[in-house]
Amino acid sequence: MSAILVLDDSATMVMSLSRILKNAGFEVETGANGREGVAKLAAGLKPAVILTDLNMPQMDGIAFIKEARKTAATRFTPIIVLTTESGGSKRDEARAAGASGWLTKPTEPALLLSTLKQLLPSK
Amino acid sequence: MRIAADTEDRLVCAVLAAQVAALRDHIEGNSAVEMLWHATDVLSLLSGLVDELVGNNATLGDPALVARCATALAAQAEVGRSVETLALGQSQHQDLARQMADCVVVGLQSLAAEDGGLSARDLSALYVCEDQRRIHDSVARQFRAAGRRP
Repeated sequence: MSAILVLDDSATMVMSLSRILKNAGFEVETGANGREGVAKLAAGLKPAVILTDLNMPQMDGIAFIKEARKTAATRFTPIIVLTTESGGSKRDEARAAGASGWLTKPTEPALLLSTLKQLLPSK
Repeated sequence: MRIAADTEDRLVCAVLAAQVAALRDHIEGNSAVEMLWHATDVLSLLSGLVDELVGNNATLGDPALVARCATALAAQAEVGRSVETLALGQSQHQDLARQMADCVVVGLQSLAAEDGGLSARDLSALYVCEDQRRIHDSVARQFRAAGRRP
């Protein structure tokens, strides 16, 4: 079963994303900001895909992506940004940091799952 | 232009910041999403029971009941998907409202600080979505049209 790491500072968003992903058959690990995400990766978590918000306290999504790309285990892991931001400059910044995909809130479960499945490594 | 507030203004800004912060926390604490997910759990539980009923009655030979159960299961699946979409949509709207409220809190706290202040540029750096930038631009245009400095 593929594990997805979900990072969002909204407890409600984490709850909803976790439920949708678990219902779709994924294992889910969560964190409230980039720092918690980095700690999970440092503890040995090897997610198949990472789903991260951009605007988070302590460590934002861009800083997290940069850190994840420095880690050997997640250098090539697909990272999807899920954010309220639709602006081009933020998107360019995320892409430059190493983001693989972008979803603007509000999104729907079907689009979220199809985006994840497209990025999941084929077995 | 950076706006610095006097003592009375700073008090008003501090009070407003605290009130918007309370509103922001209220938004995050809303249990509607939790209730929606609880509803999906109950629907799944009921569909499991109906599924069992189908199995039992299929062997007992009651085709009419089996057909009704199949209709109920199809309806449950459709309603379940709708509730899931609603719960995610509600979570995202809640998240956006919380973040927009947070921008107002940070802005007002900056104005309330002893040696604080805030420019339109500082404010726009806090934005988290295009809606906020559109509102900002619209207000700036209204200011210019009224002959006031933005």
